[in-house]
Amino acid sequence: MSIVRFLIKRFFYTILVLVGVSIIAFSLMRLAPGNPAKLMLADNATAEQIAATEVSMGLDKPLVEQYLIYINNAVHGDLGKSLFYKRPNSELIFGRLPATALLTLAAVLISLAISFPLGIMAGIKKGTTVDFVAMLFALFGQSMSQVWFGLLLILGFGVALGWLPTQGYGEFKNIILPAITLGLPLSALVTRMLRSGMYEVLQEDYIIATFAKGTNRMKIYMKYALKNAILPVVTIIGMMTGQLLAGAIIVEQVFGWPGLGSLTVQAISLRDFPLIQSILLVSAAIFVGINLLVDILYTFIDPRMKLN
Amino acid sequence: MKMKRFLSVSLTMLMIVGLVTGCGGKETSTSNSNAKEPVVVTYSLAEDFYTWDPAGQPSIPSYDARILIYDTLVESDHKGNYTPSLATKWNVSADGKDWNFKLHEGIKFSNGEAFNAECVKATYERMAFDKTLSMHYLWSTLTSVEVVNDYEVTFHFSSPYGSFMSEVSTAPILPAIALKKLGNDLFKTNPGTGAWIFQKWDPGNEAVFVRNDNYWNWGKAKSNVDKIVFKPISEDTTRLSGIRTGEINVVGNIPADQVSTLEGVKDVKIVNQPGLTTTWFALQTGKGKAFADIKVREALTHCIDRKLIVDSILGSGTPAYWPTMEGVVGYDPNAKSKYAQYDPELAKKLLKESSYKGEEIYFMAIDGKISRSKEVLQAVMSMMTEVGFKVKLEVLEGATFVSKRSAGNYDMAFSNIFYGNGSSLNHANMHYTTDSAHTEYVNKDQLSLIKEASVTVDMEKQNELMRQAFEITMKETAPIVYFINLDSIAAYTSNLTNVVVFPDDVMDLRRIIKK
Repeated sequence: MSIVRFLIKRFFYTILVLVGVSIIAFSLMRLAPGNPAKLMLADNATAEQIAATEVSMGLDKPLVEQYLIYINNAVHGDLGKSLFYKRPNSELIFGRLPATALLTLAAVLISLAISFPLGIMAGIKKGTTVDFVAMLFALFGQSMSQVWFGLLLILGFGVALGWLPTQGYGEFKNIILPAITLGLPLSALVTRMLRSGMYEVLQEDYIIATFAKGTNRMKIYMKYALKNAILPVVTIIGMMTGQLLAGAIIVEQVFGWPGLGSLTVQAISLRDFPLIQSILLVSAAIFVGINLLVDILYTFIDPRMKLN
Repeated sequence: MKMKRFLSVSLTMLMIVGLVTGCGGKETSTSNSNAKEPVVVTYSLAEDFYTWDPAGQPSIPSYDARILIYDTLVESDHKGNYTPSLATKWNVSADGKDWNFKLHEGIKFSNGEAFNAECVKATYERMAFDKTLSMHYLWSTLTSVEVVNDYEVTFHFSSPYGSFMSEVSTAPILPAIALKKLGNDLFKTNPGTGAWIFQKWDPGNEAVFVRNDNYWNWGKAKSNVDKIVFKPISEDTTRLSGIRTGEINVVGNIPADQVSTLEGVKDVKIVNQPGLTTTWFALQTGKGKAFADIKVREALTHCIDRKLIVDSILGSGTPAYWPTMEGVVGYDPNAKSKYAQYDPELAKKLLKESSYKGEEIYFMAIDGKISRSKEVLQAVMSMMTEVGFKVKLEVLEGATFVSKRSAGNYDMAFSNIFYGNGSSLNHANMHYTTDSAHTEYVNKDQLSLIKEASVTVDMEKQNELMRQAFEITMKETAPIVYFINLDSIAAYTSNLTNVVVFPDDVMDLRRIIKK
């Protein structure tokens, strides 16, 4: 399939996903208990006050109408206005997005930097001490609570040792601890996958034959074996984007990182419907976009794969 | 093959370069050796702002920010005593419905606009007439603000307003012309007459205020700090770690169980004082419900060992024997020996004699209203079970709790209230008169006492009326059982002076000095 046809097909799927997400987001928030008009006013607000506030929030209209107004605006690029911040949602979301994007990118890079050498070595030297350490790390990474791990890092490297700041945003040193925390589960998973991937490829007949030919060992590992082992890893990174965005919510709260995650938590507790809907829409779009990039990247790495 | 390899390698390099420069680019340049390094104080709170409108729903930092940016007509010591600020003199009419204020002359807002009577009128009438504003309920009996002349106003009420002085001391004055011109957009720049000027707000990250060198009221106590930065960090451990390393200078609302991490830390001062916040259980007294029977309610209040919880779980606070504490309107100093005594045997006896048939008591709460809340609530639950109650405890998310409570879908609901400025009228009106917790408890004598207190401007008289109203609560053990009074705990680095922490947890950093 040509790349153009592929992209067109993907575009329609994306629209479908976004519409679906918007409907789910819209209805879930309306189904949950909690009225934003009530939350915005003091405890003893009269029914009259609440009604007046609901009108100003547009919540008095029938549900379907509310949804259609929202979607119509979204299509024209207007993501609505936050009930509580009283600012355009796009301003709030895209203002906080860079911080989360930075954190997520750093988390991916750091976790790859850790897991690649570890996973590859473990796969090559399966059954040795290196393998054992790598598996221990993987177990730790996948079972450790990110809240607890983050706090431990703060107390250890921030308070006890004083090597890194305990919080803050703006300099390179501020991103290290949050990125390690966020990337930990991904790191563990990738270590595991590379280990088993490498090991499996190295058992293949053609690899053994290449060894027998006398080709340089490093070349075999890095050029032939790794290329095959890396395929599932690339897919996983795309899939983990969702988990990373969700994990960012936790990590941002722990470190006081001013990203989309902490905005989401506040929006939900305030029942800020338009803001929550727009955050979900944007997040879904990002998720779809990243997976698209991953699929394209895949074809560069493995010439056997075609776009379909 | 080589092309693809080159592509992937260069892509990776690009990302790394982008990451490093993206981060590094934000680094503030301190290489300009000509400029003196600005003196900065960082104050970290658990919450962030969402609205900067003083008439909107305040989040915790809003109270502290308002003191910096704005002035009010009078200043309060948060214990019911008021001193002149933007107003120089004031008096109330004999019938209590009209308040006259003489205003300070020669004051300007940070946007250049002059402070005068029109500003007072615009600020208050906005709250009185706009029903969608959160603070509207405080000013619903205000009929008008009359501009007598440029520096004199008279407030006209439809009935006397008992907590007028308390509310006036917390209402920041806004610039009338700018308010009219900009409407809600005024709260993007927040011009005020205060000691500090709002510089910027980066949501989720920081809010920055700079010193107003033209502040009219510095007197002899001018701050030497150039910038105050508010940083929201919701995780307690992270916030307190920041003050331990000195990255943060001031921290408020410290949970009682985290104070020990700061004790003994060099260069950190802890401020621990009895607070103006109390915790309580609203009881559902509707027909057919367990707590409709007074014996069941009394069994509840007698089965809880408040002192034990204070001593062994919280490590701070005092048992509440009365709805209010010292310094708050309606306080009764003799209450301690009369009410809420721990007596499990009496509780068992009362429960047996009552109409309680062992049905499940639905006990709901939100996390975080008291430190170590889950342990505290479970302790209460087990104390109740010991005397014969059957209890289901559920800790709910904020908005869910609010909606269940206002529908009355509970037997026992845990909450807290802080008596801002030492006034108890808001609490009484919210939870007794309006019954916003939907307890369905009605006591006509109590309601008429509260109603009279609400329109009593004479504070001594108001105090006695509220005392009588609260006495009914304690005798009837309804609609609320008061639990534990919380302490107000804050901390700051010892290179700071003039950090004022009020017992209702509001922080006044106006005149702060940093060595």
